[in-house]
Amino acid sequence: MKKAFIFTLDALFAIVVLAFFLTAISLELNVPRETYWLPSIANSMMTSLDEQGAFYHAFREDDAQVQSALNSYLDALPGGINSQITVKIYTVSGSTFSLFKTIQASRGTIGTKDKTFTKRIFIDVNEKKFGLAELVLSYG
Amino acid sequence: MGKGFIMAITTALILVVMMLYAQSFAAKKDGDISGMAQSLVSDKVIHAWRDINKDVFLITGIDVEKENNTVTFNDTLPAPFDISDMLSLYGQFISQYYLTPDVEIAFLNTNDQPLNLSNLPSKITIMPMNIEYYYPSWSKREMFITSPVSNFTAIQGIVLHLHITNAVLDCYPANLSLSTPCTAIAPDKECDANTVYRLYLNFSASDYAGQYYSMGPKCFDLSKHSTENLNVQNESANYYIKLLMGPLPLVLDVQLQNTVVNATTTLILNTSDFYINHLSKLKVSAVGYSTSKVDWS
Repeated sequence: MKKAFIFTLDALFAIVVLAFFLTAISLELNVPRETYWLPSIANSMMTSLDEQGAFYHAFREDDAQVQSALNSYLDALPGGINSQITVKIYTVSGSTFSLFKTIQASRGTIGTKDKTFTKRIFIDVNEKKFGLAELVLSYG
Repeated sequence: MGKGFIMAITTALILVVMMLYAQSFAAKKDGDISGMAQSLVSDKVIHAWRDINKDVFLITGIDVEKENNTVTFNDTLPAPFDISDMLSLYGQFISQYYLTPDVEIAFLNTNDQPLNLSNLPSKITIMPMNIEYYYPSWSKREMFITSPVSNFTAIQGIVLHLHITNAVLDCYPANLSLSTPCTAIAPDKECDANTVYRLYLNFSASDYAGQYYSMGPKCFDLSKHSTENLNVQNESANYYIKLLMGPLPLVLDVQLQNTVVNATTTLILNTSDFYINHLSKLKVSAVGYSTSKVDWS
């Protein structure tokens, strides 16, 4: 009986060790790694769009043209990334801002997890208009 | 019993090692997550800083570049729109539509005190000499360069070019058909062997008709005052550009009457050991983190 008790304890101990390592491996494998590079992609893309003047066209050009251009930029994103970009133009009277127009482009369906959100501000000093671009990316 | 004791000790040791490993593993995971979170926050702060910084430059319309011992100001005078109003509206727009609860921004003066964007000083200072490039107001109808008397010798010369965009040079030799000289941009007090405060000015002007005039370099004694008018015209006589030099601390004063210019002003200093205090500092910080970016905007 003593031997049985010891053997049982030994088996239990082995199971505990095995469970421990299986848990650790599972935790490591389930880390949502995609989350960590999505914000960098979003920020880089917004900076690139701004510096190329993609947002400024929204102040004056045909909305359909701007939307088409934004769609082509979103198509350049790596596969597996769903995206939605919203460009809003505001006019101002006195110190009150009014939404003048909204242009939106998207690719895929934005998921509920592994999602990132970033903004970019741009202005037209001559026309006294303000713009806000909002980009949402999700993975998977 | 001996064997049992050894087995018990071995088991206990293994359990202790496992606990220590678990603790180390958990700490490493926390560290990894914390490090990645910090990296994401830093990326967000830098992105916001650069985003706002580019717009402030766009609104104020002045670009400053340092290269070795020279500082070049690229500017448009006067302001093509109400800069103060635009700065104020921009500050409001950022607060209402751009900022998220996890990011804070502040504009700071040289003493790191917060200032309102609508009160942004219209002054750029070259340190440690305390040479200033400034406008009395953001209308930018007049541009000054000043220097403390004691530091003036740091300025070896100034190269000033004005490109007139709404009028033409109305003088010879810019316009060869005229006889009136552009201006005898000659100092009221020329330099001589006894001159202490010497300003070497190299001046040129061009207009939208492609005419061009240049002068210099000439030496101005800045212990005295000199005034020169550059003849410009655009259907009316009420157009002028006036250059005033001295006495110190005034180095140069550019006055515009109904004239719009793209001005390039290069200060040549006697050292490359200086830094520039721009209009203000811009601080962007992440709420709840020790992460922030502060730099001259």
